[in-house]
Amino acid sequence: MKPYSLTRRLVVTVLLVELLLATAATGLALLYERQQNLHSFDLMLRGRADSLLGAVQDAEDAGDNVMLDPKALDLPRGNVYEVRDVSGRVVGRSAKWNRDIEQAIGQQGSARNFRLDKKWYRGFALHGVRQIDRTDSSPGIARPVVIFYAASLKPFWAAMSHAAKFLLISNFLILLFTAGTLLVLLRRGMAPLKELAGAASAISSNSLRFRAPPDAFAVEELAVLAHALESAMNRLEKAFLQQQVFVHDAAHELKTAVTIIKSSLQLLTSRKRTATEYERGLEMCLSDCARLEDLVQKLLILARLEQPRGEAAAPAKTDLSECLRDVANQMEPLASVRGVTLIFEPAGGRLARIAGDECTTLATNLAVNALQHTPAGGRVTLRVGTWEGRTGFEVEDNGEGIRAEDLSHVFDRFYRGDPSRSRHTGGAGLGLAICKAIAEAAGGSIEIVSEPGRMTLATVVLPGEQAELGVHPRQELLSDRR
Amino acid sequence: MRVLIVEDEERLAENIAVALREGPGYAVDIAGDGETGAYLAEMGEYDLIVLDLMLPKISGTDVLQRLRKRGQKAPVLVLTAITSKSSIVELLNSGADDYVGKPFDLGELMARVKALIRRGKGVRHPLIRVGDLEVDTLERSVRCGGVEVELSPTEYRIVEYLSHRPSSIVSKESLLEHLYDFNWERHSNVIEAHVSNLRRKLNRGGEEKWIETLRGRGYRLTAALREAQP
Repeated sequence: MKPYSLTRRLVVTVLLVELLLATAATGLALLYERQQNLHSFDLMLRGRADSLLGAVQDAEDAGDNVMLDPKALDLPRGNVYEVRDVSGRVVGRSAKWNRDIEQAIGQQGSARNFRLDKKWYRGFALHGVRQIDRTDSSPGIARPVVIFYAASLKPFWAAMSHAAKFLLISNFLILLFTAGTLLVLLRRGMAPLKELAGAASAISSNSLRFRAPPDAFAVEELAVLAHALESAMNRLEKAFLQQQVFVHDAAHELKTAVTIIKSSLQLLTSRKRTATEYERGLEMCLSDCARLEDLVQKLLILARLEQPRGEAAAPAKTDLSECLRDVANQMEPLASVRGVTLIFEPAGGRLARIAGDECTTLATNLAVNALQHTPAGGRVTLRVGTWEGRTGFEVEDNGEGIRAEDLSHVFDRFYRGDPSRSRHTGGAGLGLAICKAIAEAAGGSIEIVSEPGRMTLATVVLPGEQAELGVHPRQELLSDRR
Repeated sequence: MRVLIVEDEERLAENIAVALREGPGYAVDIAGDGETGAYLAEMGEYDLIVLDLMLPKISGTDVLQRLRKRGQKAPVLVLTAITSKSSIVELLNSGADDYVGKPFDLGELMARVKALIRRGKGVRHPLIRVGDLEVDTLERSVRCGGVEVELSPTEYRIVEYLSHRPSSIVSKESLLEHLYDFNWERHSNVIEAHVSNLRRKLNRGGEEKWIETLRGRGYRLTAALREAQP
């Protein structure tokens, strides 16, 4: 779409409306003006005709044969007339006179317009009476006369065009003034918007902090935008900071892992050593490498889980009992090495909308965690079931538990509850973060409750459907050493 | 010399410790978290502290500030993954003496450790001369009047430590503190035996008394004194 300016649109609209109004007003005014001017023109015509009648009255000749001397009459140029008496004799006429004029004017007393020599004239007929031989005692003889009188409409048109010019110019000036005022007002009104834009353009990847200028909040319409922008930027900044912390922590972990391998190798080559020493050193390096590999793997899993997923691929349905049975079987050797009893409690037909491998990763991470934090003689239970109508699985252990202050952080990346312990188990503090990411990516949730020294219970709830109800859970003892 | 390593990554701490023990032959203690690190640093007499920044319980920066606030003078070498200018400036300003960025070179770390220890004791060169006694801290060898003297590792460490503080009296306890880490059973008569052996080897039958014993107070490397009084 072609970009347009709100200001320009507004100004143009206002001016167009004003122009329309001004045109209408001018039209009306001109109509009125015309009426007025015609009226005064007619009065003027009548006055002139009357004075002509007076001139006829005052003619010296007492008899019937009066003649008007056009030169003696001081009538303006461009006026035409003819005076006739009752018998049709022409008493006097102006130089420019013809029968057409009489025809155009007619016998009526109302004025009419007509064209003469390509010019517009207006004229009328005045029926008057000439008194002859009037004395103080007798009224004298009355002789009716007809006066045809017409004058050029030029002065009328001049007055009209003058009025039109005046109206046009004044309207134009008003339009100009409106446009100017509107522009200034709009520019002033738009200033907070510009300021807001300026503040927004100061946002960069280096400084995501955004404070809308106070002026923006003073404008009702802008305040909405300013609030929206501020809260959006705050959320972004928070997410960005979280990401930064993560990258920072990841870098630290990776660099440390590399440093260990490097220093191990440098230590090994720092002097001549026996074959056994070399062998042991290399084995250490290999295990260091495995740790680095594991870390990278976990970081990649997290990164993949964070990718927004397309809606297209509907998640597969996984039978939770089958998935957890596999996990339990895989964990069995570790459990027996640590002397922990691993119990599996399946529940038939619990299908969850989660990819099989992700479900396995989720359950494995939780199970390994539980096994690592349960002392010999302890018990770890993997349980599939439905709680309050929600399908999922639980991993319960009666191990050392998690301290209350750590519990709220266990899902944080790189968080290690008890550092000395976690370092021994080789975790980078990503396991539970991955669990959470998987569960949430699948549309489920994960929750951990713990009583230090007594037990820890991790509950995973997944979106899914229950194929059949009323299956009695039965215990499967995979490892019952004690 | 005795060094404290405060590093939560066990394998890394171990590698550095082994390198310090095998290389310059220092006594090394390891603290796995900030709290233990700060506690040990305040208790023990360390000639250098190697400090990681990302530590559980108390962060490295806080440990550093705590130590400096309490007047702990031992030089501190920081191990950091962030080598941005601002963070380095902040580190040095809060009392660190030097830093190495991860992943570091073990050789470089060793060299920096040695240099920091030397500087902390007012010695500028790895080859220390006290009279005609020459202690080469790189080769870990001692020459007396141009002739190399064969010394056991502990004997060398005693000479090295004494040569870093010539003409001042070093008590037996202080020697014990700086030569052995926590893993050693420490007895002052072990020191006495080593000093007596050392004295015999340095004198080579001559009459010179290199190491003076001040009864009840300790030992003193006397080469500097003899030079001052011809």
